[in-house]
Amino acid sequence: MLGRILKKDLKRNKTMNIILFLFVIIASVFFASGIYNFVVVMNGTDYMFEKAGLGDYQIVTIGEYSIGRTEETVKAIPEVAGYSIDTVVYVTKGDILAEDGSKLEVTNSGMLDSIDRLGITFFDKDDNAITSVDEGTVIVSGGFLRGNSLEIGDKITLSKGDAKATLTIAGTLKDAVFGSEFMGNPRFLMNESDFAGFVEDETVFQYYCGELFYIRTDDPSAVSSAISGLEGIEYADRTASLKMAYIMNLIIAFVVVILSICLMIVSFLVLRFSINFSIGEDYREIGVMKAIGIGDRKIRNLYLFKYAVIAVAGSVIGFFISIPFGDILLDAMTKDMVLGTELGYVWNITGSVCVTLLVILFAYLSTSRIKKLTPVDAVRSGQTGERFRKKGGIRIAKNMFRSSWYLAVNDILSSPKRFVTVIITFSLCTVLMLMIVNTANTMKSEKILYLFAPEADVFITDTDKATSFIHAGGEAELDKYLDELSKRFTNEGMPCTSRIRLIYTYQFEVEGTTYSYAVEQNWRTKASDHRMSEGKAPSNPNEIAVTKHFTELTGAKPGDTVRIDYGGRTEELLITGYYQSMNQLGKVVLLHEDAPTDFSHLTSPSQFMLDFTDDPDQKTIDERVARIRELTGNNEVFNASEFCADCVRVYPVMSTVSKLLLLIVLIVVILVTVLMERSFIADEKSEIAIAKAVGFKDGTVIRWHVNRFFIAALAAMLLAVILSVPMTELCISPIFGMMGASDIDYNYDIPGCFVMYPGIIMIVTVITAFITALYTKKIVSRDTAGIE
Amino acid sequence: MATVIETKDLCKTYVVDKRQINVLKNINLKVDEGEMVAIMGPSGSGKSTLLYSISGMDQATSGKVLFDGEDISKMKSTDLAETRLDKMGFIFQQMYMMKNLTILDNILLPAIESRKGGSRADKIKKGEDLMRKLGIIEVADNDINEVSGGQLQRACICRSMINSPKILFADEPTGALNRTSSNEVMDELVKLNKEGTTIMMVTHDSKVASRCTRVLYIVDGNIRGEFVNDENSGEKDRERRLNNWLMDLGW
Repeated sequence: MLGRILKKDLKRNKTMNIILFLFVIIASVFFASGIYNFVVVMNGTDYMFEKAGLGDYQIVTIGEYSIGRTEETVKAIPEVAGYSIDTVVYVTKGDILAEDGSKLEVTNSGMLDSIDRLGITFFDKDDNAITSVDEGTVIVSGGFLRGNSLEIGDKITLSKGDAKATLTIAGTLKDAVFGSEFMGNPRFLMNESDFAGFVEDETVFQYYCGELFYIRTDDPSAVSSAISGLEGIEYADRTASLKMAYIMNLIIAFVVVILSICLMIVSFLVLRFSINFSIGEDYREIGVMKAIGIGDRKIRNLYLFKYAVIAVAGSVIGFFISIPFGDILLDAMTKDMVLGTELGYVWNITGSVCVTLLVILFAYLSTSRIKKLTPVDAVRSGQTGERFRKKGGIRIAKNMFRSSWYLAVNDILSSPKRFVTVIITFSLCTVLMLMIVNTANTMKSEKILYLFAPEADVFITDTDKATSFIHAGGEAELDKYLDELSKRFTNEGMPCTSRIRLIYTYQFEVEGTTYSYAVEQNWRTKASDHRMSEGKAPSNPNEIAVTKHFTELTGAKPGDTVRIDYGGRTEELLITGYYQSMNQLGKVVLLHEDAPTDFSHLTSPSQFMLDFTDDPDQKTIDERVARIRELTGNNEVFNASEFCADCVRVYPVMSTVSKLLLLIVLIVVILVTVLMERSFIADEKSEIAIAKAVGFKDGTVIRWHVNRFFIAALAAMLLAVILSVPMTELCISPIFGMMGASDIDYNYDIPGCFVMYPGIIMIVTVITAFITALYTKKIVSRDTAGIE
Repeated sequence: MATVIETKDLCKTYVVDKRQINVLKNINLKVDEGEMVAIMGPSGSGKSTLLYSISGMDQATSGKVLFDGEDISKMKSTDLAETRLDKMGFIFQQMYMMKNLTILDNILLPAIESRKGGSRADKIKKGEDLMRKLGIIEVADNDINEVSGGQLQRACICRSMINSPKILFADEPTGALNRTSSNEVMDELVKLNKEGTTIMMVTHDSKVASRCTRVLYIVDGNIRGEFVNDENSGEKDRERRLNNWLMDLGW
């Protein structure tokens, strides 16, 4: 019996049932993939680190003298539960050539690895562990492949010292240690026979060979203290610090989560709308059933049965679509991470089951009104005739709108609930997208330059050159080089001065505890050129400025004194203020330019900076940047905003993500517009027919329907634009804060962000509403005779 | 009197389940200005189809429908809509109205869509005058479900009259009303006709038809007979004579 009635109902109310069915599928896809993505991202780096076998503490060493000695020390630490080692050969730009002989870009320094000397697991693009590499081939980091526009099958030549190998790229790898956007050091994984050629080269072994330790311990502090005296240690820190390097990747991952949450909210809004709507359509039937004596419970069960069938069928289809949909979202945004969950797609199933239950719950709640309906309602087409509140529309006498605009405005004001769904849905998605657009714009804006370097006109990244000064007595060479640099460009008609910022590592002592900490000092620039967030910049060699991280770590704050060991010479330094820096993820302090540092403690010189002395405008600076690129053959010459984008690294991904988000938002907007407009047309068939009967043209009816969506979309866009500013600061600032920048001055691109993106959404909404509203042409005036 | 509506060999055919049903068969009729014509006939005889075909709401299968001498079957849909808006009025058995508008705004809607009829203030005044004339001005600001069926049908008459049409089409305008409301509505239609509006209506009710100037009786898609009321005779007498005529035709 139920089956027969259901079959009839599904046929009779085809339009509304199909719309509801589609909404259930969409909700199921969004919710199931949303839950999966949420869990996966929340597991985040923990899952990847565990699968890779990173342990709790990592040490990176370089040079012949560190090999073997570090392992001896590590082995002797009682707190160490176990460890594994990677043997690597460090390479830089110039060591890796493309087939045509051109130098390939290598971010920071890269590492050659042998498959037989790995301490951790690398993963391929499908997140499977890499267990073998064929002789003559190499598997490279995904970022290296993308950054150099290489393809699998291309040949690259690796050389160091006298060793050389030309290998075919066989695939890409995901590296848990250096694979983050922030670190980005590429790895080149090869067969042992190819790798052996490098480590057997004496020069390579002496200067460029190193080891990476992955230590399992419950007490990382003990390991830190035990290895503090060892030489050749480039990096040593607990796994938690590596997580910070993934913040940029996780920003993208969080975008997926926020997007998923938005999509879930959207799906439930539209689901609730469509269930209420379709039950509203059935009031006449309900009245008739009551009139012939069918009880409330039976009627309710009938409707619950119908919605349960639709919910189960829609959710099952939605579940199967949610798997590729969720994967596409994650893969597109977190290419270099291994994200996953032990429970796999159980989360998708949970999501789909939730949708089924919620549809039934909504249906149950919506059908509670059945009790209130009487047979009279059948006569009155579902209108009870009792309304104690007037509809809040506008009167013709009080406006000068044309009929299509009048009807549109009046409909929205009379039945705001219907359009609130559209407004909330559109504004939610748009706010999310604008937040990402604002973040991306800020990342490439000069406004965040102070987080990386003092102001300058040009920034030149030349790691090979900069690292060549890392030795005792390198100061004079650096000075000479900077003079040559200025002279060279001045002779080319670009009068300038040049300078550099240097990073050292020194031991600090605060209240009896020693900390090895990065120190920033400007060469030929004053510390006072840095922007302070609190207090003042160091004005003499006995003063320093610190970041909030330093205070969190040591407890020392402005006004306190700390001791620094300059390598045998200990000085007491007064903390004069706070400054913000995203260098070293904010784990850095700023020394006065005259502080007695020496190059034996230099760890990483940064970019060379040029300041033009003829005060050129930005256009001229940009032209000069292009010229310097041409003159030096170095692509890594930047103006201030390009430099910021390069420092943040994740900007290109963010930019891509914002475009992908725009696409997803547009898909949601199109779906919601089509389905809701079709629902409205189904509900308003009689009104459309009567409008045509009294002489409304097809165009007027279409404009009436399109205008409603235009108004709703406009309201949504205004709301989104207004909310995007506080929402960006609320949601994104904590992420910048984790990277060392607690107070970000966001760059809001008014025409792009507040006009172009909302404008595109508005245009797509109007076009979609127009195309869907063309269906009203099928409703003609004679339908007034057949409305019953 | 000038002819407002004229049909020439008007045919209407529906195809249902591959079966051809000829609803109207070569209908030829004329309606002159100022006439009030009732179309009667048994259920399924084609009365409403005739009314919708004549008014351009439905497309004839063949034949011509001349409105003011112009063949509406050859009009473009936009021109036809404009003709319906400015020159024709419609009243239906079910009192269809826009549910989000008040009674007055429903009446005014065709007026603001139309380019004729003066300023918006003039149109509003006309709407209110019509409501006053039909005795429903007190429900002007009410929602459509706050008034009685009779009031709603009179509001529909106001709406149909707002653009001062040349002809008013009514499909069983009293069909959903009780006798009192029905009489009230008919009083208003007769009054409008007396003021010069041509009216063409479909009805089952001989009492209603007896108040028209002419009655067409349609059976199986053919006009079987035509009855002209004597305007000088009394209401009861007209009704009796009409009933007799209908009985002769097998009513």
